[in-house]
Amino acid sequence: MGKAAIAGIGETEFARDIGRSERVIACEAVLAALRDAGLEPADVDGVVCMDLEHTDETELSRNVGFGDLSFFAKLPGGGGGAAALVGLAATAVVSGQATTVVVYRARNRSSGARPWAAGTQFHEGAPWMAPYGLVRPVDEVALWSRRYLHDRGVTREQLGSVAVTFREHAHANPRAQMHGRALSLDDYMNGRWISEPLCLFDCSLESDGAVAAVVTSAERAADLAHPPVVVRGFAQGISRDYQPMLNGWAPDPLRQPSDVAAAELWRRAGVGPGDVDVAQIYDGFSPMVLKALESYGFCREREAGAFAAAGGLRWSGGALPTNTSGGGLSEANIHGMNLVAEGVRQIRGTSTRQVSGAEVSFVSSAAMAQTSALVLASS
Amino acid sequence: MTRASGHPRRPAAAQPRIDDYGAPFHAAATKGKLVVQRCASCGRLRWTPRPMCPHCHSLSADWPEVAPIGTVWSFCIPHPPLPPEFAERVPFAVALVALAGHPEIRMIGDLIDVPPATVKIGAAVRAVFEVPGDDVGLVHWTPR
Repeated sequence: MGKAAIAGIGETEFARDIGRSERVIACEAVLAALRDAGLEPADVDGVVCMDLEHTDETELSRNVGFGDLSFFAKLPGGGGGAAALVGLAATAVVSGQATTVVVYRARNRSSGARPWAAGTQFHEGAPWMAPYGLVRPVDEVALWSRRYLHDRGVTREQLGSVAVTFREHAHANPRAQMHGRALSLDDYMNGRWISEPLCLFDCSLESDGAVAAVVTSAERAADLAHPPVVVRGFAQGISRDYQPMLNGWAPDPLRQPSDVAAAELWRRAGVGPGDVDVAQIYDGFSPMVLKALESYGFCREREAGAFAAAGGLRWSGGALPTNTSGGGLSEANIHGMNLVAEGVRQIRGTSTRQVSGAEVSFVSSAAMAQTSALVLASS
Repeated sequence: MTRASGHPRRPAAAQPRIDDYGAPFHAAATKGKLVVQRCASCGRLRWTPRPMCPHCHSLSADWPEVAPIGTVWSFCIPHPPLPPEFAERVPFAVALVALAGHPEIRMIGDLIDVPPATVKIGAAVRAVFEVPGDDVGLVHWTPR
């Protein structure tokens, strides 16, 4: 069976308040991705987005001017879903459902109140949490993280090294929201609490922006504007008895969807974690990075904190350069679609923190959500 | 029956949902009793409440009373920005408590009458009930 590839990526700028509607920025990013690929809107016959997306496939088509659509789908999971957008698009291309599939995520956080402040209960478990004050995603993640960090023996300094490292990467990326904003480990240790044990710098940015990608066959991509970025492997995961996001009612709450996705990803990709040159790991909250490092086999259990603190995630000298554009903590949080774009740039050789000769690029979405992961490669 | 001190007015995002699956919990909690959903066919406990037993697929459930004690599996301490009704209460700690004798059953509740900074994972706690409305009972936890 043939392979699929990412032929184009497109992004708006990232900002706290972008000043344009979510629909406008969705259209801008999709059009930019098509132009990047050297394709026409009329070539598009497939669309995949998140179920959270406010600009659906019909509205997108009527603005950008797609052709007839033969494949369309929406995926759950928010931060867990970006890799799956590409993976499902690739599955559609490989199985012949469509030839040219657009995937995208557009967020305009300034267009309304925070969802929790507006009264949104995010999932079925919320009525058993929210009356007690667990109303924000960060509170559920903080409660889980305290136990995870406790059991794994992770110190605050080790956890803080994740945010500090990604900030270093953002300083090379003029598009990053935190570009030029210094963050030392001292700053981290003195950061104000959001939900203990998580402080401000453990939380991803509130971002407006949109990111899109175009997926087609690897064969066709080879004739387009950029060298193809081949989707070598794709996996999704929901762990047994999982309930978003705290997962407090599963037999072992520390086992997360990332552990399920990891079990299949490497076999499908035909490579292992030791073959990865560069990684983009969803960092909605920094403990998710350590959990993903364990799940996908980059670190053994209990070693992820020490690995991060020893510089393992750094572009300069790290064993696994991670979130090289700054990630959700320091570039932007477009539910991880910006991590997909950075994973593509690393294979193209165009990152602002380019890993020299990168051939295998790993992208994972939120470890603690209905999750997904990709292995992208130059062939 | 013990009541928590204060009944904070809860914002929309924090309303308990009283539905067919969870109403028996609230009914018992208003009487100061801690109950857990149990499959009426195979007898396994399950939490949170849901209509079908994932083991035997029975749609019948009953609600046995369980010992209102447990240990703190973990907890967090939320800080503002929070909805005003919670912001007024900081600092407070919210725990996930594993029930004594049924460690696989874990319930969320506020930790009350204890300084949040002194709470530890594994701390022994007992249930304290709050009745903010006629059909609504909430369980909180305090050191025992």
